[in-house]
Amino acid sequence: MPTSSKFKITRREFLRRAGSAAAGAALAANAPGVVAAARDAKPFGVPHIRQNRKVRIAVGGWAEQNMLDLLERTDFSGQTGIDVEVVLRTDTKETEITKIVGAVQAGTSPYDIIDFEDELTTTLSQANYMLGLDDILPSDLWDDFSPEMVAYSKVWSMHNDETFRVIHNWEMPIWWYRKDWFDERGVAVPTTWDEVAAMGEVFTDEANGVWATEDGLIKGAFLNVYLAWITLQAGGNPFDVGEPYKVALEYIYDLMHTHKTLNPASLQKDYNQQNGDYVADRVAFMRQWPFFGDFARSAENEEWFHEDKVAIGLPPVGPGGIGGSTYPAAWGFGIIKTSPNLEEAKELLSFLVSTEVAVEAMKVGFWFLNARKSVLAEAPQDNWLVQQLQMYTDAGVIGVRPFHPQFVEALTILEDNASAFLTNQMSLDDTLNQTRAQLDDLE
Amino acid sequence: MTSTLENNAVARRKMTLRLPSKATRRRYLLFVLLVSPAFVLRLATAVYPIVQTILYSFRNYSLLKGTNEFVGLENYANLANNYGVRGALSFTIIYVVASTILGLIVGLLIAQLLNANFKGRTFARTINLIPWAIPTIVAGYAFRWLLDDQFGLIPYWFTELTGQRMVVFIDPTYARLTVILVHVWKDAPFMAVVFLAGMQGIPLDLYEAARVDGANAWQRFWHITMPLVAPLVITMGLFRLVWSLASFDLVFGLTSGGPGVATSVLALQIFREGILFFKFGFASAISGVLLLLVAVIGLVGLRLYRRFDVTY
Repeated sequence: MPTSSKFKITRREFLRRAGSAAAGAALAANAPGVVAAARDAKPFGVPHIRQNRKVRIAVGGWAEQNMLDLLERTDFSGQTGIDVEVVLRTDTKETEITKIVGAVQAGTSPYDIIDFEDELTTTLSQANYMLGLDDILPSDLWDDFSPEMVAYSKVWSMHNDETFRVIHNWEMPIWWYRKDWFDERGVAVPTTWDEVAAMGEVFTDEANGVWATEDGLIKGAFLNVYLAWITLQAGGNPFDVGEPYKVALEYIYDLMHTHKTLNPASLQKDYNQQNGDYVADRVAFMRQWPFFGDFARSAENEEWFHEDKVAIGLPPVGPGGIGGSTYPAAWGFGIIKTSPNLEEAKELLSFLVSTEVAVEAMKVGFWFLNARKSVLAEAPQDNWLVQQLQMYTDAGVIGVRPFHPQFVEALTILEDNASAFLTNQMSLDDTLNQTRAQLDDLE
Repeated sequence: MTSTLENNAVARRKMTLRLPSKATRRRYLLFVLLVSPAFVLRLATAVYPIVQTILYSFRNYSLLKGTNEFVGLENYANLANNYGVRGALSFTIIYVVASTILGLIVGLLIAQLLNANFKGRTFARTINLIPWAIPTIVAGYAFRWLLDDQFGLIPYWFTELTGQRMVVFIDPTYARLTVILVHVWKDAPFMAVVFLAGMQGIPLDLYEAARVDGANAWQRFWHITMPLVAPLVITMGLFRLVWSLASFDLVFGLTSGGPGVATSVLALQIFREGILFFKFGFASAISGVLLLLVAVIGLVGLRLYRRFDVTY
């Protein structure tokens, strides 16, 4: 006859035993020797199978589909056996840099490859957070780049002669104008500073909120773009705070307050507001990045849109000459130094920047359009963006974006002071002296 | 022998005095057990960060430059030379004081209104809280559009009424005024709800008695309502001052601190130096100044609070 045996245990005894067991398990799991042994063990004599190789690439939300399409089209995973996970990075450099710095300090990274902009490249490469790429890049890579792209890469993608980023998106502010308005008034598109200034008299109707030109100049890197653009046209770099910068500030001030050409309210606007004003027929011409072309052609502006309303001209030539009429900004790929999948990241990056894949990428989406010889040769010539890039390249109007080694901090100094000057809070001399002193303190 | 016994008795009494009883010890233990989680939590989340921030403020700690040496008071000395910090400090004081005083006044007025008897009072009390419920950063961006010179609703009505164009953010005075007013718009409703709760707790006989004595509406408000809600006003004022000192999102969304540094605040400067430039040492020094301001305001507020003792 089976007997039931009851095993009695007091609550105190149960807690004591459970606690001991938990502590023992925790200690065992954390013991380095045990971990190493477990890692090296080949359980049950099954032959060691190599784990799936993987790599994570972070792109902006606007580029996610393009990247997925490119990877599918080129069959990177099929060729290499490396699984690629496309993850989204944040839109703003501020949030992204916070994320990366925290991760790198902890010896890891949320992704292996990042698609990143100029400001982030400068900051991260100088902080020694990025992997040097020179050893893994194809030897003929730079031969495929236009001279302007090479010059640009030397300044914005390299630090101490080491490459930290290979750019794939290379675009510049475009000179947009209302051809219909210019034709109607019988005036030519301004090609010099003086001609631009004179447009205030032609187009500005302050009472009705119509201005010859407008920009997005709110602080937070918007104003800096314009300061750099105008100073480059004046023949210098705003961060040098030299004569060209002085000339540039005087010119902007006059455009706003003397000639009434540039809407002073630009100082409170971002690019969305600027674009909104243009498509609301309040602006005759403006400097704006290429994304305005997509915005103007979008469904929401279908009724308004006409090619004559978004004509593209060469930017005006300033005292610095035609070579610095505009400057590009770029996005490109780099590898975080503390990446968990370094070898796979190297493979993917060298694959993405190769000539063949660069051309395929452009076919997938214009996010990958740039002035690489192979890319321009294959680009559809009837596209407005390709035509613009070709026009600006052929005319030789593209200069190098003004650089400062501590770019993010330096541009904040420029903006604080220039904004105070343009709103009559500070004299020009005080502005220049204070800017210079603050920038000197950064060294 | 007797003396030895007496000595022993004294010694026992002393021991009895020194060692608490078992029950008392249990109570102490329970006290420590109950208090320690909160104590440890505050230690970890308040004391440690504050002490660490103060220590960082004496170092040139820069994550990107890789420096972290002791520099004494250098960071504090540099504060005075920094254009951004100087501008931020001056506007922070103006912003905090002006928006708190205005917020209290507007809050009291709204509370008085919502305390009156009228049709739709419940609805009015509900919609009153809408501005407070909107996230501050959203309010900041929304007002940037509302005040846009081309499409803004407010400039549109202003032009309709006066025939003048309204461009607020290119003038430092108007920009400052705008930031303060938007802040008041955002936070006064919450103050109103708190004051309303206080007003509803005031016994109605006090008003009846005053009315019988011939007190008019203003006298009833000033001599009955105000003294009785004064502790709430002081408390809310104190909270508002401290909250406003740490305010960052409204300025960030509305003006980004411009034009120039006219509307910049200390919290925005800390964000820039700490999060954008990763200069933790310098950012900590600005935080030190902010901490000092909060401490001074807190002490003044507490002193004021103790002076008001409400009895009905």
